[in-house]
Amino acid sequence: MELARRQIRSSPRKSGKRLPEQSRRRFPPLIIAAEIDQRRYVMRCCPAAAAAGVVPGMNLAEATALCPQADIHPRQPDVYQQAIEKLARWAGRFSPRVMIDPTPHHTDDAFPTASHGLFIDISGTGHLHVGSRPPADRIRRALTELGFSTRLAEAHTIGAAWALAHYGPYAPTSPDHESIAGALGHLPVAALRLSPEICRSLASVGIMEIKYLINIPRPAVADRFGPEVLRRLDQALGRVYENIEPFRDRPTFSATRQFEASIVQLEMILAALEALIHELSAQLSLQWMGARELEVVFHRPYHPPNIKKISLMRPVCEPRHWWAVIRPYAERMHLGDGVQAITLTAVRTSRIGPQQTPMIHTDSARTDTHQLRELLDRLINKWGGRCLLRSAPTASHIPECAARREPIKASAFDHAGMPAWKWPPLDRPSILLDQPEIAQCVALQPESPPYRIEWRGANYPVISRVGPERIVTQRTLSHCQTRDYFKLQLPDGRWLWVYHRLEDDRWFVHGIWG
Amino acid sequence: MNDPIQSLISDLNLRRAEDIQVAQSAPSATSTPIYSSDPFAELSIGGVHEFFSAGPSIGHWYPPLTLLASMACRLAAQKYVLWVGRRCWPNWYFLQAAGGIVDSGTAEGIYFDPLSAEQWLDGIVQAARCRSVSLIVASTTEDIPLSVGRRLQLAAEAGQTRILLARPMNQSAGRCWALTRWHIRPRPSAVPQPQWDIHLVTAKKRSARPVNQWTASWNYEVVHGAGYMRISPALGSGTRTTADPIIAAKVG
Repeated sequence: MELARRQIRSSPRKSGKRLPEQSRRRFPPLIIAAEIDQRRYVMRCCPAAAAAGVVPGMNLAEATALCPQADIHPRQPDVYQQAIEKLARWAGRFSPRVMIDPTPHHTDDAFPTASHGLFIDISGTGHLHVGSRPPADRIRRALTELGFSTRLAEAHTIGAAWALAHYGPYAPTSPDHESIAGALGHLPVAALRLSPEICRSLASVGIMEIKYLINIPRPAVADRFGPEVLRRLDQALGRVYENIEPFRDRPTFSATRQFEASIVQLEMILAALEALIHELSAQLSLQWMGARELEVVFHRPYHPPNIKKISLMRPVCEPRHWWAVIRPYAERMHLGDGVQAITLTAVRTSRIGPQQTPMIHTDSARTDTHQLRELLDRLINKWGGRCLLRSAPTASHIPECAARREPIKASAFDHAGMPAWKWPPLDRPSILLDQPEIAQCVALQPESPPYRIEWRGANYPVISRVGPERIVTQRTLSHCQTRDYFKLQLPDGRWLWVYHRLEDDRWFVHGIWG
Repeated sequence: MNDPIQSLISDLNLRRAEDIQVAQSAPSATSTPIYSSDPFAELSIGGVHEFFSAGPSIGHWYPPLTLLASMACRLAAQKYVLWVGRRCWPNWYFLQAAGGIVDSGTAEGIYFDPLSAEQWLDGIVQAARCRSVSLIVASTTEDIPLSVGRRLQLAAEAGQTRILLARPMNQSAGRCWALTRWHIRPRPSAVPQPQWDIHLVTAKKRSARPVNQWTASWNYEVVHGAGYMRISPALGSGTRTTADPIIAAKVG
């Protein structure tokens, strides 16, 4: 059964070389420092430094005073990533399915970093462990011999293994499928891999442990704290399947052009870059791969290399598409004293399937979205991903919630990506204000439409009115609102969409028929 | 020796491109009928069209988005619409009622949030040259110099795109570089439907202009759950003032 797979979560606490116990003791306490807003803080520390009173988040000067003999290293995310990938490669001896923990590490909010754990799927590998120690024990011993201190947990679900490894008892536990809820019950809600904001929201109403969360009716949890809480809870308890994406070494695709002397002519640089693009594209297309992220490095004498990373919405191996995105940057690049070499690397790649070449080109949106993606890639790489948005309609009757806008995703222009549900069309203004604006209204009776409105410093008589249309917002514990919406016509012919909040008798302008 | 199938395919593509070119050039401004009660006919492909509307002040100004969004739903032609500037982002509910959100969601399109005038111009110019974008609806409260206007016009011509540019009324005195220039004013009405007066002030490529004023009203049919823009020639404008009003953009 899928849910009965056993996962082992190992969480190495410290990296080090394989050294005899005595020589390891000679190492000074280790502190990893991070710099935020030109101030240096302790990001991580070893047990020896912690014993001296150093804690993550502490000012580095204070930490140095407490532990003067500490060896301080700057934070190097790339090095950590390489180290965890190396460890994942090594862990392949226990199971072919090893995954680097994708959960962001939220134990201290000030320094959210990539997690430093591995998931090892040992289901179906029983024949490898016959006659020897339990697999968790073997893994721990092997990691200890490598110089790592570890937290291991064995469970039937990824979520439970993660929770027990991070928040469970130090002794290894392996609850069976029926007793997972009991084993997780006393752990804090953060063990469900929830974000600190959700954990704080749960703590504000006294839900500190998972057992309290399990006992609350599910609709109330979803209404109040969002669907993420239920998803994580179900994953931990095995009600929802969660897949392991095995770690694989990806081949590197790169092309370099070295010049005999520095080149300062832009035309020659562009020509060389175009040739590199075709070369790299040929490499990728042979493997049925497309680039998700490209890196162009211009090596310049007497200057640091000029590096530009290009993110693409989808895996692409068309040279024309790459050229359209890279060229504007190359044209605006500071050449310095010339360019000695150019390197183009496909940093992230994905497999792309065979594509049918259309016999007759059409201009319809469905068959021509690649041109649109080219435009979006160009704009996003030039101006940033936050400037291009698309509606993310949700099944909500509250006007401001129904159509939130979010940065464009890769699947935004798939036909299958459109919502399956149909929201009933309603008479709504063409402009919905981002935030409802406070207005002063005069009405004859508490629930009748107004006959005067004061909005943005001007006072208008209302010459015609339509309504009310009552909308009640989500019936959660504290955010319930009852709104009576009216269409009001001002003397100059403008129509406003105004609502009366009955709880506190206040009026707001929410939209305009512009 | 050429592959016969390849040559056949290229020949077909060439013919199709010619057909598209002919079809696109057919409703252009040069062939506008003498009597036109449809203001949308003036919005020729490959040009910038300016819409000026009044507001209490620049800070409180909003573009005539009911009219522009209705036009976008009609003119999207299965391609995408780019909405530039937060003031110019229509309500999703409204677009749905106007029929702009069908399976592929083309009229709903993409929302561009420029942080500077440079981003604003670059986004429009690049999108106008993209064949997947048929319409760009943008707004600005800044003055547009002639050089910028010319760049917009050239980009629209190159990509055969329409650019609908909403601007406040106090900027309408400047020199006209767009193909058409319109004044939009809300019109007080006795019926519970938003109404506007539409005035075509300038049309560069038009030979005859018997009708240059219209009245538009946004009608929402509760029974069908759809809205449409009803446009009719204004009284006293043109020769057929008593003509039945036409429904210019009935969709949904």
